[in-house]
Amino acid sequence: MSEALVEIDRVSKRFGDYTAVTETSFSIGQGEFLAIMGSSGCGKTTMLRMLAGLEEPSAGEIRLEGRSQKGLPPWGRDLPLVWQSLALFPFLSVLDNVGFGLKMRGVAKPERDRRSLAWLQKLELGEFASRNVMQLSGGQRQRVALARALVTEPKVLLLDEPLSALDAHLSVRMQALLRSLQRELGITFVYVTHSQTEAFSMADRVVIMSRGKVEQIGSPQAIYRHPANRFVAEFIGNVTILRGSVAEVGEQSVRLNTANGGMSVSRGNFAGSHGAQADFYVNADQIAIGDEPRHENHVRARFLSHKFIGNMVTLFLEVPGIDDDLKVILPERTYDCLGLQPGDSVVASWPAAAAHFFGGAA
Amino acid sequence: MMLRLGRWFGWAYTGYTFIFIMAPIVASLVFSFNADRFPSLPLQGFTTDWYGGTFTDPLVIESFQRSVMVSIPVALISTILGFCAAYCDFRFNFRGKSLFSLLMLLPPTIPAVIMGLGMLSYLSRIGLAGEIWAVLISHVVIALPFAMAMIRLRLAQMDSALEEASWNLRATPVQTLWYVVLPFCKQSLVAAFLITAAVSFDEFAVAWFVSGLNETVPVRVLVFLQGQVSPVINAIGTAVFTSSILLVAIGMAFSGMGKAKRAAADAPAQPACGTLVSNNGLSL
Repeated sequence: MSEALVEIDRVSKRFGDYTAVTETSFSIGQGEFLAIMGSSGCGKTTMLRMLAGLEEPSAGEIRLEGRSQKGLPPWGRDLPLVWQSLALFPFLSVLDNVGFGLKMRGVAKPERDRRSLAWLQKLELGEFASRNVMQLSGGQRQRVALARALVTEPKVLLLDEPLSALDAHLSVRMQALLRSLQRELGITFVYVTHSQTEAFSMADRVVIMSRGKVEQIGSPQAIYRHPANRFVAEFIGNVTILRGSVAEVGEQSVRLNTANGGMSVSRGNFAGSHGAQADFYVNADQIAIGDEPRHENHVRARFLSHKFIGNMVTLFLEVPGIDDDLKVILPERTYDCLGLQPGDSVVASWPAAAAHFFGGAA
Repeated sequence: MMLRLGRWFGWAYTGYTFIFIMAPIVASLVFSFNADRFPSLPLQGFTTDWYGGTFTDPLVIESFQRSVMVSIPVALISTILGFCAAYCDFRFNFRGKSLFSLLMLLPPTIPAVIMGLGMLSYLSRIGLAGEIWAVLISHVVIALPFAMAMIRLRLAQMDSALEEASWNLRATPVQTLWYVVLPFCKQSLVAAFLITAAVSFDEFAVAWFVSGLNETVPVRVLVFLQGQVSPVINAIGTAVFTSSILLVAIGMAFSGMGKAKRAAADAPAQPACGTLVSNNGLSL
């Protein structure tokens, strides 16, 4: 990511009494793959529609290469969008669908067809050029929509949950295709999704939105390891949030008194003083399970249930004094060796380095 | 067993309904070729005299020409205005929109006699009563809702992202209308044209009020009937029925073609146009 290509500057969008986006600012770099993630109604699609000019911001400004986009209609912008419904033209052939944008730019038919066909071939659709789009499979249509948006060689491509209609297998293949295409073309992708898997597997940076506001912007790793606040922590769901009062602020770590005894948390840039209440979180994949404590922080817990995610297992433990379940992520083989049954009593322990304050990590 | 009985009953009932609807038309067709002057059984032998006599009668020929001359412009105007109204209703939100839609679809619910009287008193006030224009204007009023309903139904099947996608690819709203919306509606436009042509061609009551000396075919038939009971009526009836049903069938084929050619994603075309036509009926 180098200099900012797209700047979103204190943008708000209101629909009557409803505020979809509130004073949001961030910038998108040249050649960056940016994912905007959030649950439905968080304002992510509105944000994308404002970029495309389909909605005009109620306040603030969007700039592309430094130029304000204010008042520019969608047909005056060069920000093609790949739609969730694909929005292919059912009455046109595959080739004419792809060539539509070129036709509207006044490119003559032979040139138009040549460029469209080149894109279709690149996406392994060359043989379907003369077909009707309705005769294609879901994955093929997806690629037609992609070709239609890319044939005009835009600087930025907008994608609105393009993979949500595909089955898991196809979705993974499309993710790989999108990622390699983006690298190869070196253009900026702005990808809106509610899927953490999609966002984290493809994006350079992820914007997490909730109720019209940005909660956190960062690399997938940074968001995963260091959620900025309670919302992000709960949204990503890979940490357990605990609470305690500060007993002692040390060089490296902070000592807190919690409902489950004293615990050490990485200090980071924590600025609280003695006696203050503080939330902190523990990363689920850095907790050890056994009969004996293996690290300085430990709690006795009751094993409730588990859930497989690929070759990892998430365990849910009940700990007295904590409302939420304590989440622990283990490799599947480790989990097998433990031979746990629901109701078993275990000791969960973790080092101070696995626990952090919100916003405290550098 | 019960199931088979039920199915049998269903077929019988459907068959009975068809006989009920078709019998008078078939009778008219059969008697139009019957040599006997009076429509009675047994049949007296085959003849095409009635057709020959009818279609050399200048009054009949003129009325046919007039009907065609009216129904084609009526179909054209109704389809264009119907598209405009349907698109307005589809695309825009404005104050009084529900009133607009109600008024658009009102004419077929008004009794034909009332409509005819209203048209006559209005058109005579502006000096058009008895002119061919009067029939044309009245028929546009009657046919327009059919065109609008058919086209509106098609627009309802359009993904609203389709227009936005077109704008997004740098087509202006006017280009989008031309390159996206109209092609999407093409089959329903053809169907609307043919069916409004049929509506105009068959319409009797209002034409009877406003046409004056410019008789259309249905009006001419009534004039014949008032004078005499003649098999000529059967001949005209058969000809009018055949041409109307052809128009409707071609119209249906156009709207149905979309169904066959496009897969499930692009939903079927006008299932309602059959009902629309039978509402108006064949006025003979």
